Amino acid sequence: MTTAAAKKVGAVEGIFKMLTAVDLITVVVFAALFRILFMVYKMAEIIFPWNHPAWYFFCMLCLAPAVMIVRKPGATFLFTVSWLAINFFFQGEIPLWWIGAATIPLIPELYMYMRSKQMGGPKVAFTSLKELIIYGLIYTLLAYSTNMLLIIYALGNPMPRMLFWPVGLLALVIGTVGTYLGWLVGKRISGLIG
Amino acid sequence: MSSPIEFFSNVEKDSWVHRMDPRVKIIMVICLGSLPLLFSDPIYLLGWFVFFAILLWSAKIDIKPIIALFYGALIMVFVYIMYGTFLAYPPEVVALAHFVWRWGPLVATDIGFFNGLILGSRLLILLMPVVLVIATTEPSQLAKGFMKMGMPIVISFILLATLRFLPLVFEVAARVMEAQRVRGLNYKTFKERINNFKFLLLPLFINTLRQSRTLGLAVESKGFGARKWNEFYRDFAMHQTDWSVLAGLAVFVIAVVFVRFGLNLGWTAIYRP
Repeated sequence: MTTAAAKKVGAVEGIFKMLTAVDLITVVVFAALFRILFMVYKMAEIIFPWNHPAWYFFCMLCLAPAVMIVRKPGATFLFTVSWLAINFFFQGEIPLWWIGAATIPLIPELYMYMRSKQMGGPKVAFTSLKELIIYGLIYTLLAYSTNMLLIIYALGNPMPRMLFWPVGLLALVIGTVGTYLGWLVGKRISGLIG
Repeated sequence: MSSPIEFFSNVEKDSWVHRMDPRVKIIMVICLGSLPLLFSDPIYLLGWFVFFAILLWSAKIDIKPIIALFYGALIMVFVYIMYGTFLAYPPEVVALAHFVWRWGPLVATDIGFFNGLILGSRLLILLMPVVLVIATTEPSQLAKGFMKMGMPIVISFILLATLRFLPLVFEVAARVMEAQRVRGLNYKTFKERINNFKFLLLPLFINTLRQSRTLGLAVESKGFGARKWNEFYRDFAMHQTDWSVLAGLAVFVIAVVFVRFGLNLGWTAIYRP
Protein backbone atom coordinates (compact mmCIF):
# COMPACT_ATOMS: atom_id res chain seq x y z
CA MET A 1 0.00 0.00 0.00
CA THR A 2 1.42 3.43 -0.93
CA THR A 3 1.53 6.21 1.67
CA ALA A 4 -1.01 8.30 -0.24
CA ALA A 5 -3.36 5.36 -0.59
CA ALA A 6 -2.93 4.42 3.06
CA LYS A 7 -4.00 7.93 4.06
CA LYS A 8 -7.25 7.42 2.21
CA VAL A 9 -8.21 4.62 4.51
CA GLY A 10 -10.53 6.15 7.11
CA ALA A 11 -9.82 6.23 10.81
CA VAL A 12 -12.67 3.82 11.59
CA GLU A 13 -11.42 1.39 8.98
CA GLY A 14 -8.08 1.46 10.75
CA ILE A 15 -9.63 -0.56 13.58
CA PHE A 16 -10.25 -3.39 11.14
CA LYS A 17 -7.07 -3.02 9.11
CA MET A 18 -5.61 -6.13 10.73
CA LEU A 19 -8.36 -8.23 9.20
CA THR A 20 -7.69 -9.58 5.72
CA ALA A 21 -10.35 -10.47 3.15
CA VAL A 22 -9.83 -14.15 4.03
CA ASP A 23 -10.57 -13.36 7.68
CA LEU A 24 -13.69 -11.42 6.74
CA ILE A 25 -14.98 -14.25 4.59
CA THR A 26 -14.26 -16.77 7.35
CA VAL A 27 -16.33 -14.66 9.76
CA VAL A 28 -19.13 -14.28 7.20
CA VAL A 29 -19.27 -18.02 6.52
CA PHE A 30 -19.62 -18.80 10.23
CA ALA A 31 -22.31 -16.13 10.57
CA ALA A 32 -24.16 -17.69 7.61
CA LEU A 33 -23.84 -21.11 9.24
CA PHE A 34 -25.23 -19.66 12.47
CA ARG A 35 -28.16 -18.14 10.60
CA ILE A 36 -28.98 -21.49 8.99
CA LEU A 37 -28.79 -23.36 12.30
CA PHE A 38 -30.86 -20.50 13.78
CA MET A 39 -33.85 -21.92 11.88
CA VAL A 40 -34.15 -24.51 14.67
CA TYR A 41 -34.73 -21.60 17.07
CA LYS A 42 -37.30 -20.05 14.75
CA MET A 43 -39.19 -23.32 14.40
CA ALA A 44 -39.51 -23.56 18.18
CA GLU A 45 -40.82 -19.99 18.56
CA ILE A 46 -44.14 -21.33 19.81
CA ILE A 47 -42.51 -22.28 23.13
CA PHE A 48 -41.11 -18.74 23.62
CA PRO A 49 -39.07 -17.84 25.71
CA TRP A 50 -37.83 -21.41 26.20
CA ASN A 51 -36.53 -21.49 22.64
CA HIS A 52 -34.05 -18.74 23.49
CA PRO A 53 -31.24 -20.99 24.82
CA ALA A 54 -31.07 -22.62 21.34
CA TRP A 55 -30.17 -19.18 19.92
CA TYR A 56 -27.12 -18.88 22.18
CA PHE A 57 -26.11 -22.50 21.64
CA PHE A 58 -25.90 -22.09 17.85
CA CYS A 59 -24.42 -18.63 18.13
CA MET A 60 -21.54 -19.83 20.31
CA LEU A 61 -21.14 -23.02 18.28
CA CYS A 62 -20.32 -20.82 15.26
CA LEU A 63 -18.69 -17.83 16.97
CA ALA A 64 -16.12 -19.87 18.94
CA PRO A 65 -14.52 -21.54 15.86
CA ALA A 66 -14.73 -18.24 13.93
CA VAL A 67 -12.65 -16.36 16.50
CA MET A 68 -10.34 -19.36 16.97
CA ILE A 69 -9.48 -19.30 13.27
CA VAL A 70 -9.32 -15.52 12.79
CA ARG A 71 -7.79 -14.62 16.20
CA LYS A 72 -7.88 -10.86 15.64
CA PRO A 73 -9.68 -7.96 17.31
CA GLY A 74 -12.85 -7.00 15.48
CA ALA A 75 -13.83 -10.54 14.50
CA THR A 76 -16.62 -10.77 17.10
CA PHE A 77 -18.01 -7.40 16.07
CA LEU A 78 -18.00 -8.35 12.40
CA PHE A 79 -19.60 -11.73 13.15
CA THR A 80 -22.42 -9.86 14.89
CA VAL A 81 -22.76 -7.35 12.03
CA SER A 82 -22.83 -10.25 9.61
CA TRP A 83 -25.69 -12.16 11.23
CA LEU A 84 -27.54 -8.89 11.74
CA ALA A 85 -27.21 -8.24 8.00
CA ILE A 86 -28.59 -11.70 7.21
CA ASN A 87 -31.44 -11.08 9.61
CA PHE A 88 -32.20 -7.76 7.97
CA PHE A 89 -32.10 -8.97 4.38
CA PHE A 90 -33.84 -12.33 4.83
CA GLN A 91 -36.04 -11.86 7.87
CA GLY A 92 -36.80 -8.15 8.08
CA GLU A 93 -35.16 -7.23 11.37
CA ILE A 94 -36.54 -4.27 13.31
CA PRO A 95 -34.03 -1.35 13.09
CA LEU A 96 -34.30 -0.68 16.82
CA TRP A 97 -32.61 -4.03 17.44
CA TRP A 98 -29.49 -3.00 15.46
CA ILE A 99 -28.50 -0.41 18.06
CA GLY A 100 -28.65 -2.91 20.91
CA ALA A 101 -27.08 -5.78 18.99
CA ALA A 102 -24.15 -3.71 17.75
CA THR A 103 -23.04 -3.14 21.35
CA ILE A 104 -23.07 -6.86 22.32
CA PRO A 105 -19.57 -7.73 21.03
CA LEU A 106 -17.74 -4.72 22.50
CA ILE A 107 -17.03 -6.12 26.00
CA PRO A 108 -16.17 -9.68 24.81
CA GLU A 109 -13.81 -8.10 22.25
CA LEU A 110 -12.17 -6.02 24.95
CA TYR A 111 -11.84 -9.04 27.26
CA MET A 112 -10.11 -11.15 24.60
CA TYR A 113 -7.89 -8.23 23.60
CA MET A 114 -6.74 -7.79 27.21
CA ARG A 115 -6.22 -11.50 27.74
CA SER A 116 -4.26 -11.75 24.48
CA LYS A 117 -1.91 -9.05 25.74
CA GLN A 118 -1.54 -10.71 29.15
CA MET A 119 -1.09 -14.22 27.79
CA GLY A 120 1.54 -13.28 25.21
CA GLY A 121 -0.45 -13.35 22.00
CA PRO A 122 -3.88 -13.93 20.47
CA LYS A 123 -3.05 -17.50 19.46
CA VAL A 124 -2.74 -18.57 23.10
CA ALA A 125 -5.82 -16.66 24.28
CA PHE A 126 -8.14 -17.64 21.45
CA THR A 127 -7.31 -21.33 21.67
CA SER A 128 -7.61 -21.53 25.47
CA LEU A 129 -10.86 -23.29 26.44
CA LYS A 130 -11.09 -21.36 29.71
CA GLU A 131 -10.77 -17.99 28.00
CA LEU A 132 -13.24 -18.94 25.31
CA ILE A 133 -15.78 -20.06 27.89
CA ILE A 134 -15.49 -16.76 29.79
CA TYR A 135 -15.70 -14.88 26.50
CA GLY A 136 -18.75 -16.97 25.51
CA LEU A 137 -20.42 -16.33 28.86
CA ILE A 138 -19.95 -12.56 28.48
CA TYR A 139 -21.29 -12.62 24.92
CA THR A 140 -24.28 -14.81 25.88
CA LEU A 141 -25.08 -12.66 28.91
CA LEU A 142 -24.98 -9.43 26.91
CA ALA A 143 -26.89 -10.91 23.98
CA TYR A 144 -29.56 -12.33 26.28
CA SER A 145 -29.94 -9.07 28.18
CA THR A 146 -30.16 -7.03 24.97
CA ASN A 147 -32.64 -9.50 23.44
CA MET A 148 -34.86 -9.49 26.49
CA LEU A 149 -34.71 -5.72 26.98
CA LEU A 150 -35.92 -5.29 23.42
CA ILE A 151 -38.55 -8.02 23.65
CA ILE A 152 -39.95 -7.05 27.04
CA TYR A 153 -39.55 -3.27 27.21
CA ALA A 154 -39.45 -2.02 23.62
CA LEU A 155 -41.78 -4.55 22.02
CA GLY A 156 -43.80 -5.05 25.20
CA ASN A 157 -43.94 -8.86 25.12
CA PRO A 158 -46.25 -9.83 27.99
CA MET A 159 -44.21 -12.92 28.98
CA PRO A 160 -44.16 -13.45 32.76
CA ARG A 161 -41.18 -11.50 34.09
CA MET A 162 -40.26 -14.32 36.48
CA LEU A 163 -39.19 -16.39 33.45
CA PHE A 164 -36.38 -13.92 32.75
CA TRP A 165 -33.98 -15.50 35.28
CA PRO A 166 -34.50 -19.27 34.69
CA VAL A 167 -34.41 -18.82 30.92
CA GLY A 168 -31.32 -16.62 31.28
CA LEU A 169 -29.58 -19.22 33.43
CA LEU A 170 -30.44 -21.95 30.95
CA ALA A 171 -29.18 -19.75 28.10
CA LEU A 172 -25.84 -19.33 29.89
CA VAL A 173 -25.50 -23.10 30.45
CA ILE A 174 -26.53 -24.02 26.90
CA GLY A 175 -24.38 -21.19 25.52
CA THR A 176 -21.39 -22.64 27.40
CA VAL A 177 -22.08 -26.08 25.92
CA GLY A 178 -22.17 -24.37 22.51
CA THR A 179 -18.82 -22.69 23.23
CA TYR A 180 -17.28 -26.02 24.26
CA LEU A 181 -18.53 -27.79 21.13
CA GLY A 182 -17.46 -24.78 19.07
CA TRP A 183 -13.98 -25.04 20.60
CA LEU A 184 -13.81 -28.72 19.58
CA VAL A 185 -14.99 -27.84 16.06
CA GLY A 186 -12.51 -24.94 15.91
CA LYS A 187 -9.62 -27.20 16.91
CA ARG A 188 -10.52 -29.72 14.20
CA ILE A 189 -11.00 -27.07 11.53
CA SER A 190 -7.79 -25.23 12.42
CA GLY A 191 -5.93 -28.50 12.02
CA LEU A 192 -7.59 -29.34 8.71
CA ILE A 193 -7.41 -25.99 6.92
CA GLY A 194 -4.01 -25.05 8.29
CA MET B 1 -36.44 -18.82 5.78
CA SER B 2 -37.71 -18.36 2.23
CA SER B 3 -35.42 -19.04 -0.70
CA PRO B 4 -33.37 -15.96 -1.65
CA ILE B 5 -34.58 -16.28 -5.27
CA GLU B 6 -38.21 -16.05 -4.23
CA PHE B 7 -37.38 -13.36 -1.75
CA PHE B 8 -35.96 -11.01 -4.36
CA SER B 9 -38.78 -11.58 -6.85
CA ASN B 10 -40.15 -8.06 -6.27
CA VAL B 11 -36.83 -6.28 -6.80
CA GLU B 12 -37.10 -6.09 -10.61
CA LYS B 13 -40.47 -4.29 -10.59
CA ASP B 14 -40.86 -0.60 -11.23
CA SER B 15 -42.53 1.75 -8.78
CA TRP B 16 -41.77 5.02 -7.02
CA VAL B 17 -40.24 3.07 -4.10
CA HIS B 18 -38.09 0.97 -6.46
CA ARG B 19 -36.73 4.15 -8.08
CA MET B 20 -35.88 5.78 -4.76
CA ASP B 21 -32.25 6.27 -3.74
CA PRO B 22 -31.12 3.49 -1.35
CA ARG B 23 -29.96 6.10 1.19
CA VAL B 24 -33.47 7.55 1.39
CA LYS B 25 -34.82 4.02 1.86
CA ILE B 26 -32.38 3.37 4.71
CA ILE B 27 -33.45 6.57 6.47
CA MET B 28 -37.08 5.69 5.79
CA VAL B 29 -36.80 2.21 7.30
CA ILE B 30 -35.12 3.58 10.42
CA CYS B 31 -37.87 6.19 10.94
CA LEU B 32 -40.93 4.17 9.94
CA GLY B 33 -39.62 1.02 11.60
CA SER B 34 -39.49 2.73 14.99
CA LEU B 35 -42.33 5.27 15.09
CA PRO B 36 -45.24 2.79 15.58
CA LEU B 37 -43.61 1.79 18.90
CA LEU B 38 -44.76 5.14 20.29
CA PHE B 39 -48.40 4.11 19.90
CA SER B 40 -50.59 1.57 21.64
CA ASP B 41 -54.10 2.78 20.85
CA PRO B 42 -55.73 0.17 18.53
CA ILE B 43 -57.23 2.89 16.29
CA TYR B 44 -53.82 4.48 15.71
CA LEU B 45 -52.20 1.07 15.19
CA LEU B 46 -54.87 0.30 12.61
CA GLY B 47 -53.98 3.62 11.00
CA TRP B 48 -50.31 2.58 10.82
CA PHE B 49 -51.32 -0.79 9.35
CA VAL B 50 -53.44 0.85 6.64
CA PHE B 51 -50.69 3.38 5.91
CA PHE B 52 -48.06 0.66 5.46
CA ALA B 53 -50.47 -1.52 3.46
CA ILE B 54 -51.01 1.41 1.06
CA LEU B 55 -47.24 1.91 0.78
CA LEU B 56 -46.75 -1.82 0.01
CA TRP B 57 -49.57 -1.70 -2.54
CA SER B 58 -48.24 1.43 -4.22
CA ALA B 59 -44.80 -0.23 -4.44
CA LYS B 60 -46.46 -3.08 -6.41
CA ILE B 61 -45.17 -5.68 -3.97
CA ASP B 62 -46.45 -9.21 -4.44
CA ILE B 63 -46.72 -10.60 -0.92
CA LYS B 64 -46.99 -14.29 -1.94
CA PRO B 65 -43.28 -15.00 -2.55
CA ILE B 66 -42.28 -13.26 0.68
CA ILE B 67 -45.15 -14.42 2.88
CA ALA B 68 -42.74 -16.66 4.86
CA LEU B 69 -41.31 -13.46 6.34
CA PHE B 70 -44.57 -12.87 8.16
CA TYR B 71 -44.94 -16.43 9.53
CA GLY B 72 -42.40 -15.88 12.32
CA ALA B 73 -44.11 -12.63 13.28
CA LEU B 74 -47.53 -14.33 13.25
CA ILE B 75 -46.27 -17.02 15.65
CA MET B 76 -45.01 -14.25 17.92
CA VAL B 77 -48.41 -12.51 17.72
CA PHE B 78 -49.97 -15.80 18.87
CA VAL B 79 -47.45 -16.05 21.73
CA TYR B 80 -48.22 -12.42 22.73
CA ILE B 81 -51.97 -13.16 22.75
CA MET B 82 -51.55 -16.35 24.80
CA TYR B 83 -49.30 -14.67 27.38
CA GLY B 84 -51.49 -11.57 27.42
CA THR B 85 -54.70 -13.54 27.92
CA PHE B 86 -53.50 -15.87 30.66
CA LEU B 87 -51.14 -13.54 32.48
CA ALA B 88 -51.74 -13.16 36.21
CA TYR B 89 -53.05 -9.60 36.30
CA PRO B 90 -53.63 -7.87 39.65
CA PRO B 91 -57.22 -8.14 41.03
CA GLU B 92 -57.96 -4.45 40.28
CA VAL B 93 -57.28 -5.10 36.57
CA VAL B 94 -59.32 -8.36 36.56
CA ALA B 95 -62.18 -6.40 38.20
CA LEU B 96 -62.31 -4.17 35.08
CA ALA B 97 -62.79 -7.16 32.76
CA HIS B 98 -66.15 -7.84 31.13
CA PHE B 99 -65.32 -11.46 30.54
CA VAL B 100 -63.43 -13.71 32.97
CA TRP B 101 -62.84 -17.43 32.41
CA ARG B 102 -61.20 -19.55 35.09
CA TRP B 103 -59.68 -22.97 34.54
CA GLY B 104 -57.68 -24.22 37.48
CA PRO B 105 -54.87 -21.74 38.14
CA LEU B 106 -55.40 -20.07 34.75
CA VAL B 107 -57.50 -16.93 34.51
CA ALA B 108 -58.33 -15.56 31.07
CA THR B 109 -59.76 -12.06 30.66
CA ASP B 110 -60.90 -10.00 27.69
CA ILE B 111 -58.58 -7.19 28.84
CA GLY B 112 -55.62 -9.59 28.68
CA PHE B 113 -56.65 -10.86 25.25
CA PHE B 114 -56.84 -7.33 23.79
CA ASN B 115 -53.62 -6.42 25.56
CA GLY B 116 -51.81 -9.32 23.86
CA LEU B 117 -53.47 -8.55 20.53
CA ILE B 118 -52.42 -4.88 20.61
CA LEU B 119 -48.81 -5.67 21.52
CA GLY B 120 -48.59 -8.53 19.02
CA SER B 121 -50.08 -6.54 16.15
CA ARG B 122 -47.59 -3.75 16.83
CA LEU B 123 -44.81 -6.27 16.17
CA LEU B 124 -46.39 -7.18 12.84
CA ILE B 125 -46.79 -3.50 11.92
CA LEU B 126 -43.09 -2.84 12.65
CA LEU B 127 -42.15 -5.50 10.11
CA MET B 128 -44.07 -3.86 7.24
CA PRO B 129 -41.73 -0.89 6.46
CA VAL B 130 -38.74 -3.24 6.59
CA VAL B 131 -40.43 -5.50 4.04
CA LEU B 132 -41.18 -2.43 1.90
CA VAL B 133 -37.50 -1.57 1.68
CA ILE B 134 -35.91 -5.00 1.35
CA ALA B 135 -38.44 -6.18 -1.21
CA THR B 136 -37.85 -3.18 -3.47
CA THR B 137 -34.06 -2.89 -3.30
CA GLU B 138 -31.25 -5.08 -4.52
CA PRO B 139 -29.15 -5.94 -1.45
CA SER B 140 -26.00 -4.77 -3.22
CA GLN B 141 -27.66 -1.35 -3.75
CA LEU B 142 -28.48 -1.17 -0.05
CA ALA B 143 -24.87 -2.02 0.80
CA LYS B 144 -23.70 0.71 -1.60
CA GLY B 145 -26.15 3.08 0.06
CA PHE B 146 -24.62 2.28 3.45
CA MET B 147 -21.14 2.89 2.00
CA LYS B 148 -22.17 6.25 0.54
CA MET B 149 -23.46 7.16 3.99
CA GLY B 150 -19.93 6.68 5.33
CA MET B 151 -19.92 3.07 6.46
CA PRO B 152 -16.40 1.56 6.56
CA ILE B 153 -15.42 -0.63 3.61
CA VAL B 154 -14.95 -3.66 5.89
CA ILE B 155 -18.56 -3.58 7.07
CA SER B 156 -19.87 -2.96 3.55
CA PHE B 157 -17.81 -5.90 2.33
CA ILE B 158 -19.29 -8.01 5.12
CA LEU B 159 -22.82 -7.03 4.01
CA LEU B 160 -22.13 -8.00 0.41
CA ALA B 161 -20.25 -11.20 1.29
CA THR B 162 -23.06 -12.28 3.59
CA LEU B 163 -25.51 -12.20 0.70
CA ARG B 164 -23.08 -14.11 -1.49
CA PHE B 165 -22.38 -16.88 1.00
CA LEU B 166 -25.77 -17.69 2.43
CA PRO B 167 -26.89 -19.60 -0.70
CA LEU B 168 -23.46 -21.29 -0.80
CA VAL B 169 -23.92 -22.67 2.72
CA PHE B 170 -27.36 -24.01 1.74
CA GLU B 171 -25.83 -25.62 -1.34
CA VAL B 172 -22.97 -27.26 0.61
CA ALA B 173 -25.41 -28.51 3.29
CA ALA B 174 -27.61 -30.12 0.61
CA ARG B 175 -24.57 -31.73 -1.03
CA VAL B 176 -23.18 -33.12 2.24
CA MET B 177 -26.60 -34.51 3.21
CA GLU B 178 -26.96 -36.11 -0.23
CA ALA B 179 -23.51 -37.73 0.08
CA GLN B 180 -24.43 -39.02 3.53
CA ARG B 181 -27.73 -40.43 2.26
CA VAL B 182 -25.84 -42.37 -0.42
CA ARG B 183 -23.76 -43.88 2.39
CA GLY B 184 -26.87 -44.96 4.29
CA LEU B 185 -27.72 -42.06 6.62
CA ASN B 186 -31.37 -41.09 6.76
CA TYR B 187 -32.82 -37.61 7.32
CA LYS B 188 -36.49 -38.61 7.03
CA THR B 189 -37.85 -38.47 10.57
CA PHE B 190 -37.29 -35.73 13.14
CA LYS B 191 -35.35 -38.16 15.39
CA GLU B 192 -33.06 -39.15 12.52
CA ARG B 193 -32.42 -35.50 11.72
CA ILE B 194 -31.42 -34.77 15.31
CA ASN B 195 -29.23 -37.88 15.61
CA ASN B 196 -27.48 -37.31 12.29
CA PHE B 197 -26.98 -33.59 12.86
CA LYS B 198 -23.53 -34.19 14.40
CA PHE B 199 -22.37 -35.97 11.22
CA LEU B 200 -23.45 -33.01 9.12
CA LEU B 201 -21.84 -30.25 11.16
CA LEU B 202 -18.10 -30.75 10.64
CA PRO B 203 -18.17 -31.52 6.88
CA LEU B 204 -20.50 -28.54 6.41
CA PHE B 205 -18.14 -26.18 8.27
CA ILE B 206 -15.00 -27.44 6.53
CA ASN B 207 -16.41 -27.63 2.98
CA THR B 208 -17.96 -24.16 3.17
CA LEU B 209 -14.77 -22.65 4.53
CA ARG B 210 -12.57 -24.31 1.91
CA GLN B 211 -14.72 -23.01 -0.93
CA SER B 212 -15.14 -19.51 0.39
CA ARG B 213 -11.59 -18.79 1.49
CA THR B 214 -10.42 -19.09 -2.12
CA LEU B 215 -12.54 -16.04 -2.91
CA GLY B 216 -10.96 -14.27 0.05
CA LEU B 217 -7.51 -14.88 -1.43
CA ALA B 218 -8.68 -13.54 -4.81
CA VAL B 219 -10.04 -10.37 -3.19
CA GLU B 220 -6.85 -9.99 -1.17
CA SER B 221 -4.68 -10.29 -4.27
CA LYS B 222 -6.57 -7.37 -5.82
CA GLY B 223 -5.48 -5.08 -2.98
CA PHE B 224 -8.57 -5.14 -0.79
CA GLY B 225 -8.61 -2.28 1.70
CA ALA B 226 -5.67 -0.48 0.13
CA ARG B 227 -7.80 2.51 -0.76
CA LYS B 228 -11.33 3.80 -0.35
CA TRP B 229 -13.95 1.90 -2.31
CA ASN B 230 -16.10 4.77 -3.45
CA GLU B 231 -16.30 4.29 -7.20
CA PHE B 232 -19.05 2.08 -8.50
CA TYR B 233 -19.68 0.53 -11.89
CA ARG B 234 -23.38 1.39 -11.49
CA ASP B 235 -23.39 4.60 -9.52
CA PHE B 236 -26.44 6.42 -8.24
CA ALA B 237 -27.18 9.96 -7.11
CA MET B 238 -29.93 11.76 -5.22
CA HIS B 239 -32.60 13.21 -7.52
CA GLN B 240 -35.23 15.87 -6.98
CA THR B 241 -37.82 13.20 -6.05
CA ASP B 242 -35.49 11.71 -3.43
CA TRP B 243 -35.02 15.10 -1.78
CA SER B 244 -38.80 15.61 -1.84
CA VAL B 245 -39.41 12.20 -0.20
CA LEU B 246 -36.77 12.99 2.40
CA ALA B 247 -38.39 16.36 3.17
CA GLY B 248 -41.84 14.72 3.31
CA LEU B 249 -40.46 12.09 5.67
CA ALA B 250 -39.01 14.77 7.97
CA VAL B 251 -42.38 16.56 8.10
CA PHE B 252 -44.14 13.23 8.74
CA VAL B 253 -41.80 12.33 11.62
CA ILE B 254 -42.28 15.75 13.25
CA ALA B 255 -46.08 15.47 12.82
CA VAL B 256 -46.17 11.97 14.35
CA VAL B 257 -44.03 13.01 17.33
CA PHE B 258 -46.26 16.08 17.81
CA VAL B 259 -49.46 13.98 17.71
CA ARG B 260 -48.01 11.53 20.23
CA PHE B 261 -46.32 13.90 22.68
CA GLY B 262 -47.67 17.37 21.85
CA LEU B 263 -51.32 16.33 21.71
CA ASN B 264 -50.79 13.25 23.92
CA LEU B 265 -52.82 11.05 21.58
CA GLY B 266 -52.45 7.43 20.48
CA TRP B 267 -51.64 5.82 23.81
CA THR B 268 -53.83 3.57 25.93
CA ALA B 269 -52.86 1.81 29.14
CA ILE B 270 -51.03 -1.45 28.62
CA TYR B 271 -51.58 -3.57 31.72
CA ARG B 272 -48.42 -4.97 33.19
CA PRO B 273 -48.39 -8.01 35.46
